[in-house]
Amino acid sequence: MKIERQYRVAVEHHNPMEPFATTVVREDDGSLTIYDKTQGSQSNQAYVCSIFGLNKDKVRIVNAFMGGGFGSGLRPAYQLYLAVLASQTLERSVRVALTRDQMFTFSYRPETIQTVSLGAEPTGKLTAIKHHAVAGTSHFEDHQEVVVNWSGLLYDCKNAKLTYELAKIDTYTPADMRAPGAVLGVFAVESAMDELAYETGVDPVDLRLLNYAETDENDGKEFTSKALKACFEEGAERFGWSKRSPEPRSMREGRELVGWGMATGVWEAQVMDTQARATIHADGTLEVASATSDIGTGTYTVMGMMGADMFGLPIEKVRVKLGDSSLPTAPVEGGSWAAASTCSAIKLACQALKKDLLKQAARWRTSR
Amino acid sequence: MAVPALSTSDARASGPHGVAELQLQGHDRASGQAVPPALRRQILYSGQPIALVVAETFEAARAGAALVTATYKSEEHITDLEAVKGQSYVPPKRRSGIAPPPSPRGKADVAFEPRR
Repeated sequence: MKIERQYRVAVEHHNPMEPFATTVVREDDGSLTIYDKTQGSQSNQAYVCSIFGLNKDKVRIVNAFMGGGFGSGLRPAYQLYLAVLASQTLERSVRVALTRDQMFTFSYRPETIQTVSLGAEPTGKLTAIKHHAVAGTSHFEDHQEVVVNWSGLLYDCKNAKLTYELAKIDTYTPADMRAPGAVLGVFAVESAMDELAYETGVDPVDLRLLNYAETDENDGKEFTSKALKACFEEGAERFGWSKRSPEPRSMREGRELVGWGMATGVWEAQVMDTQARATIHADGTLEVASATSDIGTGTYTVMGMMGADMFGLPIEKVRVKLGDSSLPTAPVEGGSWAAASTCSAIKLACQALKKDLLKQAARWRTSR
Repeated sequence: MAVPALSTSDARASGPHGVAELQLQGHDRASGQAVPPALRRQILYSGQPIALVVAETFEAARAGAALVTATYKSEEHITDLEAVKGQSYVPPKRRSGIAPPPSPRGKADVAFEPRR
């Protein structure tokens, strides 16, 4: 038994509420303080320094608040380049803000055409997974995402062939957008699994359980943890899945036809090298700081919570600093790694600070 | 109409301060070392900035921008992925931090379409 289906996903723009804008404040000595809409103050600092040949100590990027990113601010947007160029040329402060219309001309999830081919025994046990994707990119850059790998990760199948290619079109380069690649690829393979469930007559949840992957067969590695089976079972139980009728047009609520479906989502749990600073002040307040960003995801809050938790302080006694290239080194906020990475760094910084405090307190006691 | 404190970056120059002609290839996730195609003669996409007008006020800048004229020589262009999907390629340079597809395992082609 086999199915082969094509899935097309159109271009999708991030278009966060706050359009891109850059304000370059130029001091008399030529140093720049740049207020920029970005998910990475330090990566944009490196970008400006490298393109304009400036020293790091002359360029500070501030992004203390950001009106949404969704990945559009992972790379510097072009108004940063234009604003710094104008500021350097005119030797004055400059602001460049983009209009809503302009927000539709760059940084978008790429259009993608995918073919998923699934071979299965009549029981629904997968015998072959083939997943081929062609994604659009610009003529001047090869934008790449992880689109097809998820199909080899999600299901136990000894035959898998996953291929990913690009094709050039006359548009701007696509950009990472909200679980880049995974949204495209997992949508396709999960749609195909639904088609297979229909073809084989196997319940969609049972089909997933039958082909459940106990190891990462792409990399031949154990999962550090995986509770997806429990999620399926709990979800089915809470949803009343057993009451579902699989026949199309067979379920009604009053005069409305109702369909129930399910799908799996996958994303990585990543942790990146991140530095943080913890400072305790004489008035008993704690400050935690890192050059990460808060793109509306609550980084300020989780950093404050971590600091408060480490010192047993009420959260009002914790100040959080982020969104400034002069703070301890952190990567762009993206990939869902910021909370795990930044809070781990804060935990270590607080542990070191506590140890130091206790050592100083002990010394103070014996010296009296 | 008088436009106060107007400056322009002119796209007809070979590139302002030669910066725009820097390398366009490459995509480093960490530092984003790519110069956007802006203020240059060749138009690569719809929406590409061709000039930047700087003024003391937003209104003056907008009025100045309205004075910019451009003439274009149209070239063949394709924005439909379907039309070029037959020319797809495996990206020769892998993007940093992005895993390429894993090597095929087993024999998916044969398993999917067993020879009769």
